[in-house]
Amino acid sequence: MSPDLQILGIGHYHPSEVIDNKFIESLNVGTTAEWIIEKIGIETRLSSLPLEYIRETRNQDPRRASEAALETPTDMGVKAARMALKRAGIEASQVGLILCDCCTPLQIYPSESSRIAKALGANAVSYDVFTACPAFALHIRYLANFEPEALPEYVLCVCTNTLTQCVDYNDRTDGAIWGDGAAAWVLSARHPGRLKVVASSFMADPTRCDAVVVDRHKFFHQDGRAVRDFSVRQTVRLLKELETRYSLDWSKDVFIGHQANATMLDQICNNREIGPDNHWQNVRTVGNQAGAGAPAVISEHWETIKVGQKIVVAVVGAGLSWGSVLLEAQ
Amino acid sequence: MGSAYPSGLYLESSAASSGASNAQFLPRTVLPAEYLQSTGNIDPLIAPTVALESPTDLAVRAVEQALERAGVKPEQLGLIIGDCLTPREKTPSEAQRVGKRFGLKIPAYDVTCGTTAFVQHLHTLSQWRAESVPEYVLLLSTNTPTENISVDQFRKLPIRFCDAAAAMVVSKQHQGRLSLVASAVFPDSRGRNYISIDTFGGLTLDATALDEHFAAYIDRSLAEVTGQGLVREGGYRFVCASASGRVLNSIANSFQINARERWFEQLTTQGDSLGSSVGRVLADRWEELIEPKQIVVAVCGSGISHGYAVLGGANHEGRR
Repeated sequence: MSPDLQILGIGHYHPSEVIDNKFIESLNVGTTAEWIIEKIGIETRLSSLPLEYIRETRNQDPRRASEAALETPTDMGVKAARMALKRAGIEASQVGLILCDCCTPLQIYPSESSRIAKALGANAVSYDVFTACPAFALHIRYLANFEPEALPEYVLCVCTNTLTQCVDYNDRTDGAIWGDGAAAWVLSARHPGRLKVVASSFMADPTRCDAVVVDRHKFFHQDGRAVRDFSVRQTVRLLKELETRYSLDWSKDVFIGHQANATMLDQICNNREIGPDNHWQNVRTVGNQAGAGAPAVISEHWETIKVGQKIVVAVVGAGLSWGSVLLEAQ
Repeated sequence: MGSAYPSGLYLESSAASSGASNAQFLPRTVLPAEYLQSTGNIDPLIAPTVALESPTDLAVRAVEQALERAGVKPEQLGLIIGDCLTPREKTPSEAQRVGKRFGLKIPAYDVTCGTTAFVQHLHTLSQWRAESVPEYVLLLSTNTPTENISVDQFRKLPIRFCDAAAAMVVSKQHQGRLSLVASAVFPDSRGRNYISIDTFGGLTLDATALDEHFAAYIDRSLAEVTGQGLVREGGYRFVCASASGRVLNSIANSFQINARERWFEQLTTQGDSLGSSVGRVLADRWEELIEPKQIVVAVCGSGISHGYAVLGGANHEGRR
């Protein structure tokens, strides 16, 4: 745990193409808008792919998707990063380290972080620290491992994903899950920020890593039932640990989970008796943005965070891996 | 430390007529010779489907050797950090795929930095609080760049590439054959991407950018290492990857590095395997590492990072 790490600014970006449930129903792949709402609770998702492209091709050739896309993961990551930098009140030139997590890069090499650094004009060491969905927890845990003086003055972390470009829209479930999004946050161990990192954790069970896969040349696929069971159980476990250790009060503190699907999050909130006002989410309107989801939610609430409020981010996903971050507003 | 190579060695029948430096063979490739001969490997999307081994397969063999040499059992590991520029899957991470093969339930993720992986991984762990580093950490890099290079392209590249994995077991609590004496990583926003690998395409190498930047970066690293007195008099072994033999020998000449200590020769002859290059040179020379002679590793990564690591023997003062 590093009590010194602070989040100075956080940003997000989502593309503008809206995939609603009627659109997915219109693809005639054996699902309905009602079924989607009942099973996963997602109403719309935001995509970097034009709707017409999805309708015409069902994205059967992911190689073509990046050519048809209106935005790249790098474009989105840069926009989120600029918002985070602005909120932190610093310039890109002040950043000394950039970490990125992207499970849909257009190039494997150089790293996504290098592309973002170049676009921002940042003279920063840049590399990818990757685990997909729980990236927010991994990045903060990774940075908390450092001796504070070994970290540069400002660190920029970015999660950016365009999973809708890796979805087989002939699959009735996968097409309903994913949205695209990016989030970025500026940390420092030397300067005060709006959010203090009180605790962080990251853990993995690689023996189950085949449960969530994004093929390099093909599609996303997962063992949906197993992943959902794991996600609910693991998130509840993370929350219970933090509730006990940090005396959390769900009447005023906030829970943000992995933005996988809304019914899963509802199940977790019901288990921990967390009311809707203290559960922040965007999955209902944006879809699952992998690692970008949870930090994007914080970003969306950035201006309304109250001093003294504790924000618990508990994230799970590919790896299988999971982690948590306890933040306190100051 | 451990290394692993595919058994495939593609011999070109047209070697004599080609005349290009890389024409004689495509060294250590996971691809079958018949496939290379019949298709020229012009579609990088097909290559992984016919490859005899995956990057993960190679990594597992390298890890087995590293664990055996370290005298450590898989279940004693507390963290896996991976690096792979040619993964079969974008998710999960390579570290997690390797962790699965060993049945491990421990933190595992990728810190992907390509050719700078060896230095970046060690440099990072050296900067972590002691209590944050598990007793034993596994660092690995595995790459199969030949899957991303057509035979025709291979003949023209100024750098020879091969497929290989490297792994090392590191500890802050236990002595090993090598210790980290010093390390540094530098950014340079002027840096160009001299190597790129597209998700759906092949490997591209910008030889002009390589010549422009590489020598300057490595020169800077060696100047710092020697200028700060980080290496002992009497010479040091020099390992450096991702450049042509011409460039590396020119740098070695300017720093008066003895020909016998130019350990990069292995890479210019066998082939460069990106982030696993440095690790496999050291792993392949494991028995020679008993001799307490310093090693300077200089790396230059595509993107905007480069750096160095100075390695000494187990009892070197100031080891990290």
